[in-house]
Amino acid sequence: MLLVSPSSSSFFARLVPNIAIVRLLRDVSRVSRHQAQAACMGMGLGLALLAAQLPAQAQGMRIDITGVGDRQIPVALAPLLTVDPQNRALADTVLEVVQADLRRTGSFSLLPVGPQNPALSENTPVNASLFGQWRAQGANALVVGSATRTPDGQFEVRFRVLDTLKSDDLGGLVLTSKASHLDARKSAHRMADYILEKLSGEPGFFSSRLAYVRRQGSNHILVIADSDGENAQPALRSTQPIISLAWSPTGDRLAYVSFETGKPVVYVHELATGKRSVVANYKGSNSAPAWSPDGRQLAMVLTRDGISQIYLANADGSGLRRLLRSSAINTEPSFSADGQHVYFTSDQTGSPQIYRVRIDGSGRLERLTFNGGFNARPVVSPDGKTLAYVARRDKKFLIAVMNLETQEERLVSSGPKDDSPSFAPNSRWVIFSSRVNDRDLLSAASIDGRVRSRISLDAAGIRNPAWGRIPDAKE
Amino acid sequence: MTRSMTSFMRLPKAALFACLLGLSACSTVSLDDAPAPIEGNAINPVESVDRAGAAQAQGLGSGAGAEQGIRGGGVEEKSLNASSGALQVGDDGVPYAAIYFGFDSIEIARDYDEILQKVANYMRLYDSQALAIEGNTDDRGTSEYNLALGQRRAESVSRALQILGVPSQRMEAVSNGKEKPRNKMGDEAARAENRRADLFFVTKLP
Repeated sequence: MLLVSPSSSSFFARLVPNIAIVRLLRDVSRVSRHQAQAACMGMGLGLALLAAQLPAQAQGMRIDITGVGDRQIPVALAPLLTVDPQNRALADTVLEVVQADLRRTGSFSLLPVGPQNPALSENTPVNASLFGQWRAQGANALVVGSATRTPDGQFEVRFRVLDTLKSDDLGGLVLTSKASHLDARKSAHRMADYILEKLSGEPGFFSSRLAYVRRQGSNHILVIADSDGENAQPALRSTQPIISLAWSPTGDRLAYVSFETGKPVVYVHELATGKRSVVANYKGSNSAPAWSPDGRQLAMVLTRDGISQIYLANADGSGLRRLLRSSAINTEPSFSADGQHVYFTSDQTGSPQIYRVRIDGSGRLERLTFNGGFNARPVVSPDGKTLAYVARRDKKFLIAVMNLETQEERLVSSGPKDDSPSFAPNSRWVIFSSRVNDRDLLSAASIDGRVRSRISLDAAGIRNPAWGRIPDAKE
Repeated sequence: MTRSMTSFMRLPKAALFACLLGLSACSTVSLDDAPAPIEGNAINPVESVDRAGAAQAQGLGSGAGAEQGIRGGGVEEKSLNASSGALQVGDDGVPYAAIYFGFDSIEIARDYDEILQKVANYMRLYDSQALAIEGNTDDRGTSEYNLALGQRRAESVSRALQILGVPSQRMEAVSNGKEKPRNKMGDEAARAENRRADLFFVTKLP
């Protein structure tokens, strides 16, 4: 009856990124091939199999964007120059993914770029006439580049970002990957991250990964996907619910609650090996895992002593200690960015509200939320500046964010059944689950409340998202 | 009447007889099929039909197992059909009884006194029997806060049974929160049905 199958490790071994990155320096338009190749040594194997899965996964995924940023930066993305036609399809994939990523932020408007003569690339002479020409066409920035193969068959993207307003060369990258659409997508996310960072000052996040639970018939499938929902791979299948996903700060492990034994138990799942270990399986319910910023501790909620209470433990579950003594529900812990505090939900006043306490349990309990009768599931942004949580307002459950310095609150979603907020690695976006027309799907909102997007999968409900960090690239 | 006929076939004779007398609600079932206890008659055959109308149950079962098909706010209970000689029941994944709760409440209505007493009696008779109590909630609010609420409901039932003499070591209160709704519709009737604690007899605790 019970089916729990950690997926084979072949895919997750590849979670170590397959992209080699070399910085394309300002004023240096050529990076030696030798350098680029040295950087991509040690990359994973076995990509053909994954590339074959792509078309099916790409189907049915739709991202809707509503709202735009205050100020949209007009950008001209020139097609990547390909001398060898075998690179055309991958080059087009890269351009499409970059466009979709940038559009998703609501911060860019993309100008159409027709055929150029001579064709543009990262080697196009950067001079006043180039800047003037594109400025005249309304572009604040121009991105130029090319796609080639290395002698050993790797796919290489080179690009350069030019600020046409300031007549400035903002540099670029050489991205080398396996010659598959999946890996080209990863290069594209890196390219989009670079463009985002250089043009808006916002740190990139497109190269990060998402974990979520997909409901398919009676199965609950833990899925790891790229930040745009593509390249979705199952990590665990179960006939019982899986909730409360939490990425380790190093991005190699996922903590979650699985009901596979008939009750909630906390597991830590090592993605590269598929190895899972139980970190809390005490009498009663075990739930709500949260990692400390250094990855050495887990906060969890246990009921072994009665009502739901927060405990701290080492990452393997050892060294358990209770955080607070209370006769009220204390749950949904989240560490502060400095690891010194835990934010959590407590109903000690009769309704769930959000509090903060020092991790040694000393000092005063500080209450943070005072609006409305339901504020729960706090999560601290990676930069420690913002708190996201679920708030009930006018009978709707929606996502609120609080500036932790000013304690000013902003509602960034419209409900009515939003849950499980999780921050993008750059702290500027929150992803969450929402229920629209009786379907579970994922939504994202910028913390300034201006842009919202929705990721929906046909015929399947998706819930419990967790946004991971950006994997380290070999640079 | 016809739609709950299938369940009648699994009811003890006394219960079936009472139902056939024309009384409408017949969801509560006696424990009298249990093998005769060795010392005395600790379990009295209980009148299987609710007298005061407090324990209302509407059999909405669609065929198999109408005992489980009761919706919203009522008392329900399944036949404790211990096979001859066996001193334990359970592990069939079917709850023995369900206790419903009001919105945001962990209070157990008086309607359930009888069922809880029967469970306590049974647990006293068979001291190797264990009981799993699963708390559930409606779908409003966050996953983890609902998990905590469901836990509190399950604990509330556990405490009531402890007062009736059931040792806590033989019970485990756990929660499904909002994750395993029995009724997936989004209306108030569904929410009421999902605010519930299920009692399962099990041969051992996990």
